[in-house]
Order: sequence, then C-alpha cells, then structure tokens
Amino acid sequence: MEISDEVIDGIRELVTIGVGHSAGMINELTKAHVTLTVPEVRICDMHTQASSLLDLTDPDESSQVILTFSGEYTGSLSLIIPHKSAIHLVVLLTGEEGSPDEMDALRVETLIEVGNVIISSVMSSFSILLSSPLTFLYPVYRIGKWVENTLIINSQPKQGILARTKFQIQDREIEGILFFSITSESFDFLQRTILQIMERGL
Amino acid sequence: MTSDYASIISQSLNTLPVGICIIREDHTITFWNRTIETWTGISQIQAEGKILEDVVPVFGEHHERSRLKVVFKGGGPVILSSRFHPRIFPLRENSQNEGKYQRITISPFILPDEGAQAIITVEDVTAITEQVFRYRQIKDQIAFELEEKKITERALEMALSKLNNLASITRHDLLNSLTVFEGYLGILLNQEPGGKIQTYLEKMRESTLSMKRHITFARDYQEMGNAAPTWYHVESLVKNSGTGPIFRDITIEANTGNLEILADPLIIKAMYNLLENAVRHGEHTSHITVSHVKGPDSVTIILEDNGVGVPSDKKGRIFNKGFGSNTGLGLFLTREILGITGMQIIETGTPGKGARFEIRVPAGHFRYPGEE
Repeated sequence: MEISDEVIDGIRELVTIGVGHSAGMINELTKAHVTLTVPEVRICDMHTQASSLLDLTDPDESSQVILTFSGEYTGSLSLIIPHKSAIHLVVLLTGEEGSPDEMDALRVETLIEVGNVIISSVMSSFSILLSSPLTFLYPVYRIGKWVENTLIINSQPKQGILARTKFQIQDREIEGILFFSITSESFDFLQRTILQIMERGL
Repeated sequence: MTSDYASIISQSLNTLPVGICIIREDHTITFWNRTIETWTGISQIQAEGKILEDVVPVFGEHHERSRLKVVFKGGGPVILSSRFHPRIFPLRENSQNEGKYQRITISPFILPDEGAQAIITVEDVTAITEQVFRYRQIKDQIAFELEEKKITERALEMALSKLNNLASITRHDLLNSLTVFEGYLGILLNQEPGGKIQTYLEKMRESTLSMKRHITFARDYQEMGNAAPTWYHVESLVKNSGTGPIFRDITIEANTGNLEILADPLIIKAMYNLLENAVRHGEHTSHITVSHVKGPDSVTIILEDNGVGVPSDKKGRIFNKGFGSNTGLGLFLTREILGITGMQIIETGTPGKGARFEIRVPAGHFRYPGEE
C-alpha cells in the first residue's frame, strides 16, 4: 500500500504529541526526570513485516502493555519493552532499592500504569481524528514474544504503525516500541481524516 | 435504560467485592456501591450527587485530575497503581487493613441520554502488596546472607592457603634439619661407641624415625580434601594398592565387579593402609578378600582377612589417633579419608578368625557404570 509522506508525518506528529504529553505525566507521577523521545515512526504490513520488526527483543522475552479498542478504528496499541529493560525501568521510576532481578506483581502493576499513561496519551492524541468515541477493553500485561492480540485477531488487523520510543532516565536509556495494529479499514479512515485535517487545518 | 434494568444493574454492582463509583463528565457521582461505602465509611447518600473531588480529595490533585481528563478525552481506561497512588479513596479508619493499598481503574462509557460517564473501580490489593513486600524482604535478606557467606568463604580460603603454605614450608625445613641430624646420628652409630651411649643413640634414631612419620602424617592429613573427589573403580584400587614386597606371599582377591566409588584421591593411601594392616597385624595372614553388598540406599564394601583378627578389648579403639602398635595413625587417617565423601568404616571381624572391615558408601557416592 502506498502511503503518502503527509500521512506518515501526521501519524508521527500525533504519536509525538501523545508521547510528549505522557512524559510530563510520568515526571509528575514518579518525581523522576524522564525524557521520552520517538526517533522513528514507520508503517508496516502486519503479515510480512510486523513479526521481524517487533522481534527486537529476541532471544529474550518482552514485557507488553496492551490496550484494545474498537469503533471508527479497531485494533490495539501496545508498549513493548525487552523484559529486563522493563524491570530496570520500573526500578528506576520507583527508586526502589535492592536487586532488580524479577518482575513481581507490584512491578507489573507499576509497569501497567506507566504503559497506560503513554498509551492513553497517544490514544487521546489520536482521538481528534474521531467523530465518535471508541470502545476500550482494560489494558492487559503480557510477557513473552510479541504475537497478535487474540482479542482483535478476528478483526484481521493488516496495518502496523511502529514508533520506536526512548526513555531517558537518570543516565540510562531504555528503548521500547509503541505499536498500533489496526485493520485496513481503520487505516484508510486514519489516512482520510489526517488528510482532511491537513487540508482544512485544526 | 428502563428503571427495572437499572435497578438490577445497581443491585449487581452493590454485591461485587470491589469498590465502584460512577461519575459524569462534570465529575458528579451518580453511583457509589456498598463495598466502597464499607471501606470509606461514606454512605451512598453522602456521596451520590456530590462532586468527586469533594468526596475523594485526591482527585483534586493535578496528576489525578489530568489522568481523569484523559479518560473523557478519548484516551481509554486509566490505571492508577498502588505503587504510585497507595490510597486514593479515604478509609473509614486509618488503622484498617481493608483498602489500605488500592488499585484504581477508570474506564469511560456512554449512557444513552446521559452522555459520557466513567466507572471508577477500586480493588483492594493490600494482601498481595504486603505479601510482595515480605517476599522482597526475604529475598534481600537471603541475598545479603549469601554475600556475607561468600566474603567469609573467600577469607577462609585465603587463611587456609596461608596455613597450608606455612605448614608446607615448616615441614620441608624440619625434614631438612632432621635429615642432617639423622646423618650425624648414623655416623656416630657407625663408630659403635657401645654401652649406654650406644643405647641412647639408638633411642635417638627411633625418635628421629617417629618424628619423620609424624611429619608424613601431617602432610597426608593436610592434603585430605584439598583435591576434588573423583570416581575410583574399586577392583583397580585394591589391585594397585596391594603391591609391594609386604604382599609377596598374600593372595588378594577383589570381587566388586564394576563398582565405582566417589572418594578423595587419598583413597589409594587408605586402601593401602587397610591391606597393609591386615598383613602387619594379622600375624599369619595369607588371604585377603574384598567384596561388596548392595543395600537399598547404600553399598557396603567388605575387606576381610584370615589373620588373627582384632581382639575384642581393642575393637572400640582401633580408629583412634595414636592407637596401635605401629604409627598409630594408619586407621585414624583411613577413617578420615573415607569420611571426606561420607563413607563410614567399622570393624566386624571375629577375634582369632580374622579382621573384617565394612565400609558403607552412601547413595550418590557409588555407581555401577554400564548397569544404568
């Protein structure tokens, strides 16, 4: 599918706005100085490219916070972070002491909140494209290799929007991926509305 | 929504074991369930119709307010973890355990005719949170103790190494001096001074030999446990140990098949001691047999001879250090060497019919290669 540069720029801008907004919230939440950047946004085909692009964590597992939605666009938005990095991220954000060697129940809960702040902000940023609200499921946490969310698999998502996301906290840099997987219809809708907004302005 | 249906929903939400509060976009509380009423001590009547921030002041704070805003702005559900917001909803009593740690989820939904609403769910995660804290405490304690042990282990290793070096150098120097002393003693004895001098010189030579034996024992004892245990084929061990002039007229028979035991490398010395003892103290020993008996969780190696055996009154003391008519160290050392890998030795022979040593080898320290 041919995607115009304007659309990619629009998507990049919406992701950046959302992520930037979430950085402020995370700073406030954790009282730690966190910088979030999105150095790369790319569109990919779910069947041919997604698995290899999301396989950054191989051979380790990854921690994923996933939000599923349906409506004018249907799909899911995941924050994917290599598992060990995710533990470090939580430990840095909470200022915990001791050995950060495993993701216990409290750390999972904390990561879900941090992931949720980012995902919600990005979703909120994309909501300007919508004429009616989406329906959401509760965010879930998953560990392992990235696989398509079974909750939306029936919707046959075809397009992926991949945004590399960098957390800078203290002197550490942790890299993750924000990944939208949406149906072709949703992507068409997204493209159309982005182009319309660009034409008429916000 | 019909009033009947709303009533059913309301009743159901009241029975759930989680706190539920529903608000409109202007933050007016439209529903406050029983569970949240119990935890907070704020009744439905007191809460419903009020502004959320007036009933739950934490939602008036900047961060929580902006998270709530995201819900109504189409950002989807929001989660407030117990780690960053331990207690959002106030408690009936500060000392109560119920709801001490809360996990909040805020999710948007649309009610026809009533517009956007948000359902706030409060989960009591006190038990799991405190359990994780306890678990982390135990884990940190174990890690700390392990580190302490490692430090102690390294210190002990260093001390042992120093002691070994000191002992080794001392033994070496002592043996050199003793050799010089023995040499001069030999020269004097060769001159055959006779009389008391001769007797005293011979006693001095006996003492010299005894000193040498003690030094040898000290070396052997020090070496024990220094090398990692390895597997020994018992028949080969017996065959290799039972060689030398002392065994010239002795038949040694080993019937232990492919039995192998895990032992300190000094096992060769221990086996030699046992065989040599059989000859030296058996008086008329001509035959030594080594066999084995398999038990449910161990193997017993039996070493028996046809000598005079161990007198009943000495049986209890033969493994003591210093007991015996020779060096008094052989059987003591043997028991110590066997003990390194958990083997136990006892003497079960009949006085007058021969000595019989039983060595019990524990599970995991013996094997029969090719039989598994």
